[in-house]
Amino acid sequence: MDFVQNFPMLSIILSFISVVICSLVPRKVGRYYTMIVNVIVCAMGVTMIIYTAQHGSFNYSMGHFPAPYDNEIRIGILEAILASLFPIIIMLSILGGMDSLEKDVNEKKERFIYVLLNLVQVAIIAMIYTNDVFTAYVFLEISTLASIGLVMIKDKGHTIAAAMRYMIFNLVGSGLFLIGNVLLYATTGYLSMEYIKVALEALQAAGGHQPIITLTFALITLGLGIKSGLFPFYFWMPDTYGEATTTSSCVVSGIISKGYIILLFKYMYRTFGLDLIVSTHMPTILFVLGVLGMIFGSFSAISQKKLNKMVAFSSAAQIGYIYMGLGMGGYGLVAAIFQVICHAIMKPLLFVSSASLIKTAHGKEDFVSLRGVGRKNVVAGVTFTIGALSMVGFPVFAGFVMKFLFVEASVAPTLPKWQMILAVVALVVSTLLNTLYYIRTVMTIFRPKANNERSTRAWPPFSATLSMAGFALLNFAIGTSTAFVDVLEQGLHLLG
Amino acid sequence: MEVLLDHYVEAVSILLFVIGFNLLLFDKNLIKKIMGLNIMDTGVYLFLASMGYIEGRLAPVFNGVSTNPADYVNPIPAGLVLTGIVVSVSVTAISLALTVRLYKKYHTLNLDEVYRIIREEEKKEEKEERK
Repeated sequence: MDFVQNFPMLSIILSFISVVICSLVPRKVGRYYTMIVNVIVCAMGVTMIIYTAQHGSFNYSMGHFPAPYDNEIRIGILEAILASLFPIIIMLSILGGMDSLEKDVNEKKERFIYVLLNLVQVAIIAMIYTNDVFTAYVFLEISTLASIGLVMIKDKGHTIAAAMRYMIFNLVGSGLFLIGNVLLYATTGYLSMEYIKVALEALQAAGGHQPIITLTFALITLGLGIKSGLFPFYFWMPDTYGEATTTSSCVVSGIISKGYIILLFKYMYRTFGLDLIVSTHMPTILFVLGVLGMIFGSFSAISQKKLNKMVAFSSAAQIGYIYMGLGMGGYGLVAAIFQVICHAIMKPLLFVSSASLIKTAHGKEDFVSLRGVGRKNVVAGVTFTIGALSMVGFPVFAGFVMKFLFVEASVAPTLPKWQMILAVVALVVSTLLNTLYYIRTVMTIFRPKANNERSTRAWPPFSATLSMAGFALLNFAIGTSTAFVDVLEQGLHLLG
Repeated sequence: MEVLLDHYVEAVSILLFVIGFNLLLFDKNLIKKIMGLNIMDTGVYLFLASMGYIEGRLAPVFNGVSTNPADYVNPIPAGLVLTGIVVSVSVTAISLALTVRLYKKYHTLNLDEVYRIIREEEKKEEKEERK
């Protein structure tokens, strides 16, 4: 065994140790230490990308027993890409939220946010790599706890109420996911994803077990769907993302909700297998809910009067895209995994730049007060525009590739006619609605003042500038790279 | 009916799960919600524990009585229950902490009441801004 194969395990352990260290050191040390850990974990992920590209995917055993008894992690190229991207997003979110942290969070409590961010990193990387359904459940709960902590760390009444609502939905989701996993163990007798798949295929071939397979998959999908904000369970979203401090909203919206979706991908590909999934009819339900989420999420976003809440509500529509792709199957799955990455970059960019704009407007969030702030705070104005254009699907940004992939998936000949029509209509309507509210916002923030007064420039702090530039650059890189989609497609195939 | 009697443990655990789920989702009182969470988890653990137990077999601790693995029960479900209990304890702790915070701010345990107060505060803020 090569030494490099230990890296995924080491990255999980390093993050775990950092959780303890960050709870002991002063806040400033914790801040820079967390960012260094993020970079190291990312570097380990990049090493794994190179290694898996050369040697293929492999299973890493955590104990001394042969496979079905042991707890394993599984490393493939897709997992390596995600595990190297998410730590960088956490790092940029810390940078972007630094100055609002000082305003929002008690100085004595600030070090706990780094504890929680390390915990998020542990949970997300373990969820990406795990090959064991019960480990998946444990780390899912860890990420739930960490995300509740991240939301409630801004100690205001509204935030705590938002955290409460978020927590209740999350616990309902976790409960359904747990009972689904237990049923899976009861029917197959395995916890390892690969063995469950073989056992389920045998059960399917023997016949008569369709109801239990359908029930299990439905429970797991519903649980993960509630946790990640599938229509009609997205009403916790605007409060949770809109009220939390900037770093928290970036991490919770960009990464934690994606972790649950990646887990769903793993269940679809590795635990049940795509053929079995089709027999449960769940994809059709996911497709319909995704389409409804795209449209209703956009309508809800339009009706918001505050910038942060509008950005938060547009997540509902974006999550809807992912579920529509999951429901379409085939090329739709590639589009969905691309959207997972694309949204994980776009949404923090929008949150960081809107926080900077709001700061320039002296903390006012409504659109009237935000008139012309983009002329004062040019950097945030430009990066917000980049994020908005990407959301709308303007070429050279990631959002364009995402929309292109969805269109390609929805005209595939294997798709039923009604799904094809519904998907195209939903794409057009949702893009139009997106354009409506994002371009309206961009025009508001760049609108000149009526009395021709020369607006004084307000520069965002260096850390926030760095973060916004980083996100914008990532967005641009993914939007212009042609090989990236092919690598993702290949990674998805290797997942199964 | 006979099916229910044969599988009474499963039936009871599903009943517990549904009771807890309903409490967690639909009850307005935060403490009752947290109780519901615990009842729901208990249902799952009962189900798991009953699956792992086979009558007449030994506990999975080797003490020199038998070297035949078929004489012991499966230890994995017990391990899972233990892990699950740890998870649910920590979740309960954080929920209770959150409830205490919320009670200190709004002096009520009714979630609807909390949201009503928040909406009123928001309206007041809007009015002040217009002035």
